[in-house]
Amino acid sequence: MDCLYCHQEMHAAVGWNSLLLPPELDTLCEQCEADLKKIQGKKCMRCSRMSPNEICPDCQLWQKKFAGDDPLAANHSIFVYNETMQQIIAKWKYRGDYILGNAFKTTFRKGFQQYFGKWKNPIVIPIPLSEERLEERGFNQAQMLAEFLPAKISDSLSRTAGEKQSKKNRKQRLSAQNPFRVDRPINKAVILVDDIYTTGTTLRHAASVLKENGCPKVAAYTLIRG
Amino acid sequence: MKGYWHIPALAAAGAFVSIRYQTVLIFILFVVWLIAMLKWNRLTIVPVVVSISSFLIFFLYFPHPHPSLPIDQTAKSEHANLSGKIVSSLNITPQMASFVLKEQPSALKTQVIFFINNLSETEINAIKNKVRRGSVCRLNGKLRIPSRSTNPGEFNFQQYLWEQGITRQLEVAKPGDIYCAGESIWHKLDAFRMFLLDRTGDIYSDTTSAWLKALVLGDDHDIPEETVSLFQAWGLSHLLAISGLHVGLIIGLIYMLLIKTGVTTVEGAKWFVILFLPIYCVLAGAQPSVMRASIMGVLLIVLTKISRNVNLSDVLSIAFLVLVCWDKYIVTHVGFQLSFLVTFSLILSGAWLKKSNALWHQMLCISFISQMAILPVQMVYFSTFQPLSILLNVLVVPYFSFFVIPLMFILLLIPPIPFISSGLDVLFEMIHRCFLHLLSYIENVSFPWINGEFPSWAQLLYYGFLVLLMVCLQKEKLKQAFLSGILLITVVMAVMIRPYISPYGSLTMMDIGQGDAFILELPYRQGVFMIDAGAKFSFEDHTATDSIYKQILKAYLYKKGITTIDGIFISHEDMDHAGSVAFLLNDFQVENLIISPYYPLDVQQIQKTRNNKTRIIQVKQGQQITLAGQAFTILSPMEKTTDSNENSLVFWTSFGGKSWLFTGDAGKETEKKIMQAYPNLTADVLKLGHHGSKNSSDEQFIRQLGAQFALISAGRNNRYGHPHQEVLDLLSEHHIHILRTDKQGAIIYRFNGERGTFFSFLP
Repeated sequence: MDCLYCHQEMHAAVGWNSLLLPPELDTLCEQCEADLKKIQGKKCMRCSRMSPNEICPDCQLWQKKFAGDDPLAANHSIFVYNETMQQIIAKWKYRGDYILGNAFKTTFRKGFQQYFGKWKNPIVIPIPLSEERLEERGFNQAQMLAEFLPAKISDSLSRTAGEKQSKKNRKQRLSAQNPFRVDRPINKAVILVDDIYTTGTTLRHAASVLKENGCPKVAAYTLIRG
Repeated sequence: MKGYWHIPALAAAGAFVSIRYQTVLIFILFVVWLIAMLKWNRLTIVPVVVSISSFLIFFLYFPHPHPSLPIDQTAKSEHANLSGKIVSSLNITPQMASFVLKEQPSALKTQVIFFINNLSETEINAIKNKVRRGSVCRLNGKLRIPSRSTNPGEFNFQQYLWEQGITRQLEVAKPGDIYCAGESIWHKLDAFRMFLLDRTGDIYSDTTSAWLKALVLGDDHDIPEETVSLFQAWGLSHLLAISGLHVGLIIGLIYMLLIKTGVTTVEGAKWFVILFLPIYCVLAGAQPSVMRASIMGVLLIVLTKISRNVNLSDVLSIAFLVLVCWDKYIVTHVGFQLSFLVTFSLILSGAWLKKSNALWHQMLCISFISQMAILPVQMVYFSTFQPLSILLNVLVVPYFSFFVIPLMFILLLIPPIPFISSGLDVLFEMIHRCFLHLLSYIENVSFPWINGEFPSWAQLLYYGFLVLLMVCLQKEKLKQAFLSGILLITVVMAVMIRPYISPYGSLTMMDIGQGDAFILELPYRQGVFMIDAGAKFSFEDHTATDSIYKQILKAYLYKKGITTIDGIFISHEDMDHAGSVAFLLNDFQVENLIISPYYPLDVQQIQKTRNNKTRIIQVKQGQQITLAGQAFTILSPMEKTTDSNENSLVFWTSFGGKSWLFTGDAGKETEKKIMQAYPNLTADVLKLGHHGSKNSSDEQFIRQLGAQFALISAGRNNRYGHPHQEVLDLLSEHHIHILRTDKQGAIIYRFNGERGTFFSFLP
């Protein structure tokens, strides 16, 4: 068995505990695993960013902007966007190493139980890619992450063509037009899934469209808090 | 598959266990587990498919149990001419020489035996010379089906040979009855091994050569039987069998010799070991443990050449699969089972063992794991377990690894230089004798767990809790580990106290051939009694042989977990009734010996036995004795007669809702006296006097007793014609149900309260 990222052979000798429960397949080696940093300790209760404030300055701005009626109830993330993570994401998303995404399967699933375990029958909606972007990448990373989760996935959100978020700066992002539309309205609580929460604009665009179409509650679940 | 080879290997082992216990449960559990692992992304499809196929293929491939053949088929032998190929080496013990013949064209395997006791030195040499592996032979001899067990707990020789694929035995009288031609290259190695064995015997003293032969050449016939059973009881047999320890030492020795002396490079030494190990395997007698170790050694060297990371569990598993593919009968070999079980447990414990820094601690852990892993197997095969063996191994293993085994190799390799080799010989003999004394001293002051049967449910639970314990230890969850340890011990304890909480009692009439031996076990193990314990008679020196005691009586008592006997009633002094008593006194705690005043007891002999605490109770007509709550009424003898048979102790007792009369060898005269003294005597079950002889069982006596059942203990086709037809006719006239050992094997009356049923061991 090789590490999904660095392809070093993982030398896991069979022991008493792996006799009945063999180690998981498709994982990172101990070294790569250790290079990733999980969000721990004090964090913003709204967006999961590691921060001494209960609500980080960014979220305070958002609150101000929406006058206390933020369409996104909260965002939960697992990892910090450090250098190794940036490289792994680049390889996975941009260089098309689809299988590498499996490395996050268990962690992403476990986090979901932790943060959304109490929600009753939520609908998971992965942030869609525009058709040309999907053509270019071959897969939607948010769709892949959503499929790891033990919940119903809906495809009623779609995206009109637009520029890559990652090519824009903060200001451009914040002022962009809402690129989403709802094909079929949803009247249940929705969890939006994406790989990364950077400024939160994309997720709020999606959340507001959903809410406008009658969705009672929208939260986000992302792998990384950028 | 890398890192996963142990799963198909375990599947093969599971197939074997499924066959042995006739269950599909293991297969169902295994498949459910595989599918779950596949679903939870812990196994890929390849190991899952390979493992399921492995289970199914080996289930079809491994030998299935075979119903033992009826005894009337095993009794007769016929003259036969066979021809075929010799497929084993010649195995010589002090009593016999044997080899395996694969008949042509039927491909049936036959064990060919010579009883060499009666043969001259030249005749034995002629056999050694003629019997070569690969030879095609014609043989003349007596063909028979191997004998089967007829008692619970008795070793089943027929089954044992069948598990090696052998269905018949051919007894050949002399080397002149065998004509052979040709040989295979294997014979060269066999012959070299034979040469080494003979040479060792010529050069060194008996003790040294016995241990050298066992530890280097894998032939333990010269090691005294007491020592072998001592090692068995103490879980030290792995030292007698050539195993990983020896092979590891050999590899080390070769490396040191070749590399340090500069003869070759490391690479060269590796090649040498790869070529040498298979040869050594044959020279060492090709026991399963040495084959396991050699295959692992070769695989390790080859695999480390190919890949940087080699999984030990893969190496072991591949060695396992290679061995069972090569010989499907090897899985039934107890040495094979123990060897793989121990090695696999140690490999699994690798991470845990690495945690300890102190060498002694690590050795204790190794000893602990090895002994715990084999406990159920040890119980099933030997009925005993020594808890102290965990500690003893820590002391004994280094003694063997650093002293005995290296010295034995040196003694084999050096030429017989006067002073040096003989000096080492004497030195070893001295030290080793001290060691053996120490071992038998420890044996004498400690108590083994004679556990009896270890049922399959207990084995399953035991291994379940053992895995749990080891998982907790590895994860350093000490509290949970402690709890699992307690559960583990509870399983063993539950097995041990089973007889003490069982409301069932039994009376067993053992089938010891022409002779008597009864074992009465009261409910809740309140008492265990024996009524007579006969032995076979050796015609050479007119003494009792221990074959019946060892193979039948001791085997049964151990299987039942019995160590204490409350009383042995000896009816009279004839060998077929009293012959095994001396052996019993030696190995068991016998509280009472109950005899008539006319029994010529050798008091000195009894005092020589291990525990001379045995009380001797002399009883005669009219007395009643109560032992362990069971009352026995003595009906005879009243006075001494010249005929020892008529002096037989006759007594009446009742259990299991029936009354019983045991008569020893009493004849019609005694019966008359009993009837006079007890005119109202009745009994539901009568042990027929004198094996059903017509000199016993008078019609009047039978009529008066009004028995429903008659027990007859007699040898198959015995020379006395017991039981006599007129006695059998008399019994059927009175509608008495006849139960006889010569037709039905052991007869068991199992009872609970006042109800019970008779069973026979043979159908």
